[in-house]
Amino acid sequence: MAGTYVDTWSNRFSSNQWVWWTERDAVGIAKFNPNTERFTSPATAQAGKKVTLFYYKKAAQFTEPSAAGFSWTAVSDFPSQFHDYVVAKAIALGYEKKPETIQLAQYFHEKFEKGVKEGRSFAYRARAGTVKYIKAVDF
Amino acid sequence: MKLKEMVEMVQQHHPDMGVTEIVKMLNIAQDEYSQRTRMLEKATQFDLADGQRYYALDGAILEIKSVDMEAADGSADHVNIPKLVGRPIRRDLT
Repeated sequence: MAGTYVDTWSNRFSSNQWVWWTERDAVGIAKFNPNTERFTSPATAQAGKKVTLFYYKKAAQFTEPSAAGFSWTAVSDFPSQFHDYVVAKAIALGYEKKPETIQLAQYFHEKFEKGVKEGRSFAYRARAGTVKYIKAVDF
Repeated sequence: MKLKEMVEMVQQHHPDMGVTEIVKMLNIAQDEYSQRTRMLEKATQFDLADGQRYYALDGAILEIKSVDMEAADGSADHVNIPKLVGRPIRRDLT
């Protein structure tokens, strides 16, 4: 936390800096002074200033038929190539309810696991290109 | 794939299952898929308030990747601020 950087609020170099953390389902934002180890909450000077959170989110839930807003044409937030895996999990959950179909549940759980692996790989690199290993060449 | 197609695919295996139950199971599946793949990303904005340290998070947020704060120099720049490891030693619950 120590070190200097440009404090954008005072336009001067400072060892104090704004930090964030999560606690009790909330994000905390305060200015940290490493010398006094004190945290100061946003004050009048910062009131109304925008904070942007970049985050991973859950897919929007499908509305149940009995509720307002239900639509048969609703589409999952996931890219279409992964919809099949979501369906596989739902099928597995259905098969789990009967002891005699546990083996079938296992098959669909495994299909879902394959989907998780593919999904993680997609999330990690697909939109930024494949991971490339660059080998150094000595001229 | 639309919800109708997803429900029909599940019904091919579970013809006795009602639509509400299938939708619930699809939602469980979606939650787990979101949680484990971290595939869906989004950004949201809020305003800082005088004397307020904590800002409630929406239930759809799984994990915060980064936080930007509006610069004070009047420009539209937003400055990335670092994540604190742990939480402040001195408590302030405002």
